[in-house]
Amino acid sequence: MADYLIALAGNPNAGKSTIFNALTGARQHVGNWPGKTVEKKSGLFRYRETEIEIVDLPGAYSLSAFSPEEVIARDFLLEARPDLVVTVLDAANLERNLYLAVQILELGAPAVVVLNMADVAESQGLTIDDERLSQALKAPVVRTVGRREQGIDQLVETVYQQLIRRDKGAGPSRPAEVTLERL
Amino acid sequence: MATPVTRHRKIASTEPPVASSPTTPASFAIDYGPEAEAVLVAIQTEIEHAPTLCEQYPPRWLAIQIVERDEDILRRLQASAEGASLLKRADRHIQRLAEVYGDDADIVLTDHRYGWINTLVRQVVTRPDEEKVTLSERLDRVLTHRVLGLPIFLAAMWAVFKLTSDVTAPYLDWISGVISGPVTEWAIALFHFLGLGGTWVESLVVDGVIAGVGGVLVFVPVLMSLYLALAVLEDSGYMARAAFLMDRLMQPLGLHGKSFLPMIVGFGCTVPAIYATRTLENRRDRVLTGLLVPFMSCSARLPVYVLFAAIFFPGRAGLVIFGIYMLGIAAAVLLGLVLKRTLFQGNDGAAFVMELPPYRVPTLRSIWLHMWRRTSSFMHKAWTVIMVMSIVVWALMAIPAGPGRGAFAHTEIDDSIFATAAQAIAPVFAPLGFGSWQASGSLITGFVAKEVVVSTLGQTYGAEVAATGDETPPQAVNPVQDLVRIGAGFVQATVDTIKSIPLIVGIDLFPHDESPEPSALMSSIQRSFAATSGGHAGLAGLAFMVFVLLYTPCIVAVTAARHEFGARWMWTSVIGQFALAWIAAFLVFQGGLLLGLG
Amino acid sequence: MLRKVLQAFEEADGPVKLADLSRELGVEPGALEGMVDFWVRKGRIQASGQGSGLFACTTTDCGTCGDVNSCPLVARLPQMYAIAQDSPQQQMDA
Repeated sequence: MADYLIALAGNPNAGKSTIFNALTGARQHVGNWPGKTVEKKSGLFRYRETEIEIVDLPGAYSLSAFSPEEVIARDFLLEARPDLVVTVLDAANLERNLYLAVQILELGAPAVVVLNMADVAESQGLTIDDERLSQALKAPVVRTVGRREQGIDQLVETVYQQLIRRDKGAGPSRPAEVTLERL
Repeated sequence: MATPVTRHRKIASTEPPVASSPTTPASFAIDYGPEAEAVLVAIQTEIEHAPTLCEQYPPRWLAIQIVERDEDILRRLQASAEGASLLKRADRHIQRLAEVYGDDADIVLTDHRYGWINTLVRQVVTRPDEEKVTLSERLDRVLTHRVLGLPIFLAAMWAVFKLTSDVTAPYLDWISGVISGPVTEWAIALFHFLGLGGTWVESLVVDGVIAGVGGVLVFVPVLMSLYLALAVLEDSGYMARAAFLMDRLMQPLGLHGKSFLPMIVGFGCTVPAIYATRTLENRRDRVLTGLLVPFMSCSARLPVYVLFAAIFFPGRAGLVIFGIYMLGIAAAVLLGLVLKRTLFQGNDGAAFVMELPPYRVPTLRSIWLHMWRRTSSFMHKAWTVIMVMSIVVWALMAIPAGPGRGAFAHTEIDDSIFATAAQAIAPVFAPLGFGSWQASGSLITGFVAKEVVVSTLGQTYGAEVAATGDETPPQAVNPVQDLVRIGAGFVQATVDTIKSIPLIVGIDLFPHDESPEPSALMSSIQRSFAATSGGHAGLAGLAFMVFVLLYTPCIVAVTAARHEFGARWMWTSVIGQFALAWIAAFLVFQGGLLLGLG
Repeated sequence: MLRKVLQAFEEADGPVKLADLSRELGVEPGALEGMVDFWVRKGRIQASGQGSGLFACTTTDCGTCGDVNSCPLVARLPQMYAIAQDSPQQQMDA
């Protein structure tokens, strides 16, 4: 029984799976999305006595219903209402990657934005102002290099803080926990 | 071992959507501009009056999806009475927005979103002053240069034809020797062993299949080298640039930008090129392109050029073949210009935007794969279409044209139906310098497929060679000795090929005094063309190549044209091509005579 | 942004490289592709080239390929985009 449910979203090739693997290690479960041939990966990780379930959404460029992947990602966000969406962006292709991020934010989902492959962007001479990005998106920004597991600790900490903050904000009026079979 | 995932704790479904939750510190929203915002707010208000929808979807988000015409969401809304009535009311607002912008409402929102992101990226990302230039881009600066690009492309193509004609010549001679030598001898020996020596069965195999199909298979090394070169150019990414250059060349000529696409395909094969005219939206452009595509020399015509260039222009074969291809392009462009100003007046199409892949070093595996796929398709054709045609031609050459002119398979070749019919047509080609029945016969059978021109020439002139040669009884065949001879020939051909590679760039490191001995077939064609052209065999040979370039590519292309453009245009195309080919060949031959060439 | 892309397509005379267009408009190549895809979906821009289904040669009679979908003689071409002529918008304008 996990305490929180979070989703991992991002464009194809944004390095989502390296982040997913770094977060969950061996605690993964691979199946299919109900009624679809698209692979569904989910996993668990523990941080400060908190059990967090993470669902890897299919790679998509947007949340418009143009492909089955996009429909799956959108339906999951709408129906399962994860406590947080970790949105992975390829820092070297920020403009295209931001489209999905913006649509996720427009959906009103609480998000943590990950600038992945930060090293590639740097090697191309790109400097990214994280602070400003964070302000504009109204979400925390974390830098990672997924394939070297750099920045994963900070990502976990940020995710945790966001989850806690949301709970605190909800205060004692938070409704009782109910297990629902959804999706 | 994967850890089984337990069902997570879930919050009650009565919790309001996250977006409107008071716990969200500051909700994210893009400003879509006053008009769009007014519409969004109006729709959002409608949504807030529908409790079920409110619970299912964040209201502002749902409003955005409705304006963006998200099919999936619209379908879901349409399914409930509440949703359907919401959509009806929303439509009014959307209509208003569309009127304000003079465009679909969904474009307004998406445009704003992209704009918002673009502005954000400009603020957040600092790019280096000197953007790193990749090797690909540096190569492109030269290879797709406004001025240099085209000469480089032409030089590359010239090198390709040099490779296909000159460098592979030793292999061509070798295979030719193997087929006319050991293979034929073995077949004859086999028929004698079976007691069928001298019968029509032997003739069918030797004069029909071996002379015809074998005559075409001789060109396998030529096509392999062409396909090798093309595979390298395609895999490296250069072909994409060539397409870019070609498009740029065609643009100022007023041809529709998209018509060049089928034209490029036409260099491979006319048939898919005709079908590729479907990329053009309007029928006028489709028909016009369909009329021009056949002038792009398809790979089936190459064997004819290689054979004739080897006979009439030894040493300059690559250049001549290159020139023929260029002539095809020039003919298409000129005809295109004329038609565009007369029958096919209309607006010029917009230009292409191309996604040029980065250059890369091609892998051996992929080069081999592409080369092999194309070569095997050629061989497949040899065993099907060309085989059938060879047998048909053999049969027509075996049937006497009338009583008293011999019996089946025992008629003088000149008395056969084929020779008589071809002779009747031959005068049409007399002014072009090739009025022999063999030449006209091969052009007629060439309607079926261009390789058949070569197979028929092999059969008709081959029969003549056999007839004039001494009727030697079959010698005892020594397979071991033959195989050794074939192997040694292959090694020699390889050595000669390697020696001739520097020739591609025009350097002759290994000057050889004696030019290769022309085969019996080649000298027979040479003599015949000299006879019909009054001694100007070179001009007649060139005229023949030009004729082959310009007249109907093949019967399948004609069928494709009828299928795509209708019978009227098909006939226009066939007759037009024939007329153009005749006129061009006439100009080459008679013009050459006037200028005192050849 | 989107409109600028469409406008650039309309105004182009002579072929344009997607990479050059991206530099000219100040849009990252990946994002530009996304915008072009949007117009392709809207039917205002037509994509052609391999995989666009327009090269399905429907004959096997030529004896060269047994496979309808992949004539080996067809050159592999880059992905290309052009303004769709019969787009609804243009009909409206006309």
